[in-house]
Amino acid sequence: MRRLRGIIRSLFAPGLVLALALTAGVAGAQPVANLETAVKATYLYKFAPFVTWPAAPGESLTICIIGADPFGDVLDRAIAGQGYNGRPFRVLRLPAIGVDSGCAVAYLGGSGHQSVASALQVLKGAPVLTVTQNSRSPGIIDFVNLQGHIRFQVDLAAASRNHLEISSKLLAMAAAVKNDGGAQ
Amino acid sequence: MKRLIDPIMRAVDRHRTAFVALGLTMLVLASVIAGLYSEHLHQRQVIQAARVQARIVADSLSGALAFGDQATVSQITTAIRANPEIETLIVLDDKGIPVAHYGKTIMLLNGRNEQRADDGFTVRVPVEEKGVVLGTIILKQRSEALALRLARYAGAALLLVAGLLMLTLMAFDTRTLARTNRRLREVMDERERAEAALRQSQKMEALGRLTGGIAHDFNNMLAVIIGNLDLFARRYPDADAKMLRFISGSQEAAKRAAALTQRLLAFSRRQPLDPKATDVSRSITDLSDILRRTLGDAISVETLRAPKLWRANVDTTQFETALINLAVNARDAMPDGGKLFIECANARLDQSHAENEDDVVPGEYVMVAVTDTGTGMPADILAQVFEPFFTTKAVGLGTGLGLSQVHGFVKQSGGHVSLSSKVGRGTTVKLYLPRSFDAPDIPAAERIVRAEHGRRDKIVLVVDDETGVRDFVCEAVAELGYDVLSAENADQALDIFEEGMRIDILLTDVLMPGRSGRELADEVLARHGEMPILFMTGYAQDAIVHNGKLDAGTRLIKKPFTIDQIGVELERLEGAVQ
Repeated sequence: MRRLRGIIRSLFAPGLVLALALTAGVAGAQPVANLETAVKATYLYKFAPFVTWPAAPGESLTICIIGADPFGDVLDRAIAGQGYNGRPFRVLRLPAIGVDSGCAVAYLGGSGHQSVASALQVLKGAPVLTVTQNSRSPGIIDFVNLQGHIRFQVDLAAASRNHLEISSKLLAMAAAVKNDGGAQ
Repeated sequence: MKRLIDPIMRAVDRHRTAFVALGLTMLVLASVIAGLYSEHLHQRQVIQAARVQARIVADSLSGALAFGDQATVSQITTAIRANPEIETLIVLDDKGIPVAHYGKTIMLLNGRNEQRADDGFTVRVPVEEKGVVLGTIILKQRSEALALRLARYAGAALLLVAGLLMLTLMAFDTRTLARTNRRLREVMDERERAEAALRQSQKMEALGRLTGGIAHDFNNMLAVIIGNLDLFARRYPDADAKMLRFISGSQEAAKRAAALTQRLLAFSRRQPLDPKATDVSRSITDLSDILRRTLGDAISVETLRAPKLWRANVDTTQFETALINLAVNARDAMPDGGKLFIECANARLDQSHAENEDDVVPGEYVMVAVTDTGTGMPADILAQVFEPFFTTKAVGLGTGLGLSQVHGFVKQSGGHVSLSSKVGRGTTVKLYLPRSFDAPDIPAAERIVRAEHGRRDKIVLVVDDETGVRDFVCEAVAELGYDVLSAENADQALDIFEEGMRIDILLTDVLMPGRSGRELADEVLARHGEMPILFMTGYAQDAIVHNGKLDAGTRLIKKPFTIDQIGVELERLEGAVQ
């Protein structure tokens, strides 16, 4: 490991190495629960490149947090400097979602205003990648915790209903892929 | 065509080494260029392969990198490790933290995305999906080991060297072969020439024997006929006039026949010769009148005589006959006039002459060249002209014995004839007559007749072509106390001057065959500056007088004169000089 470090140091400019060290330091200071949140936050935007929407996104690709927001600024920091086909990511926090909210990815946290289930109902057939957290009414992608690791399940039928194409690469990473034989 | 190709072939022959060297150099250059190009291609291939491999790896790892699937990353990395061409692979996640790697050495990329090295090519490519950066791949594609590559080139180089060696050897081989071939051709040519010369000589010999035999018998019969006719004429001087005319006509014809047999005998080298030391130049001078008459007005004669010409050991009369024969031929070759050059010079024929020509004995010869500006002869005629009865002249105009006589005479004298001719340009006949050693030329100093009394210690050179006059003048001058040298013509006199003898007074006849006394005097004055000269003449003052006056240092005495008269003139000349 030490050798690899040495190699890395020789590969990158010192400034970048310093930045890495800082990042590691910040990560080390966070509690374990927060680490999980951070992983999920990065997953949230990393799903996007493996999904194809029926229409190309506009000026930016919007990630919506509906209801409870477990990520806080972790998500904002994760998407900083990243882009989808040259367009920046945008985070929109809404108490409830509608078809015309302009969301490409929607994390459904659930709230008093709109339960996860009702949000899913609203978004049925709309080109929105719905993401839920270990929910009884899961979205297209549902985070699960397997042996302490954050994984996810994919509901291909739901994706299909929402006119989304999911890359096989993403499916390969999924802990489980549900396909109830619905519309293809 | 052959004339065109031969020089080119000879040039190639001569510069063969340069041609071969040039060819080989170009071959080596071409090989080096081909090698470098192949190396360049290989490098490009390595670069291309590295880029493609990196992209494939990046693509296959994107999902696993995005979602932190360490197991999949390791699995793929291990799979790629099986490819020996990928020496190093490093997989970094989106934070730049290494996720997987293998490989021993890593090139410093120094901020660049690609790095070329002797042993391979390193690339860095981002792992991205739709512009979202998920990680980084650094991959080093190994190029074929330098040693391996060199070994491959060494193989080719070895082949090249072997090829070059073979080509060089072949070139040298061809060169040696060409040289040998040339030498062989030369030897063959030489042999052919020698054989042709031998055949010619044998033919002439056979012809000579045949004609000689017939001519000899014929001559004897003619002797009987002429003798009997003579006897008849003597015995019956009072015979019928008509009969005597018949006899006389028969005698004429028989004599002409005898003359013809003489020439046949001359060709067959059976005529009796009386060789003696002959000054051929003198003979030519003596013949000049006859030659001029023979040649006519349209042909001018020019004679060239080399200084210190040796004497030739030949029969003078036969030599003169030969010369006239040559002149006649020359005249017939120049129907519209022209020039005849007669040149005399000393010649040494060496071994190479003897090898190239038939019957030539190396040694010293007096060369007489007779050149005309006539029609010339083609080679096939040239080869036959010495044969008896061969003639190109119309029937009745030539006997075909002229050149046969020349050939027979020269051969019998132990000499040699050479002929060269060019159609339209003229013909040259060269007679090489053996040098006479019988009467070695006595140096002038030893020929001086010393005055017996009243010596004045002055040498007078007396030049006169008439022996009686010369002898008298010499006696007279010696009587007067002068030492005397004598010469029978201007050429001899000039030879004496040429020997460096001190001559105090030149006493010369004016009208002589060859160069006149005036010409001799001019020549002497031109060569030696001042020289007291006394001319002897019976007439023709104009030959020596310029504008009615004699030159300074020049006097004239009229023949006949007494000893006293010549004594006075000589003393005046002496006084004038002093």
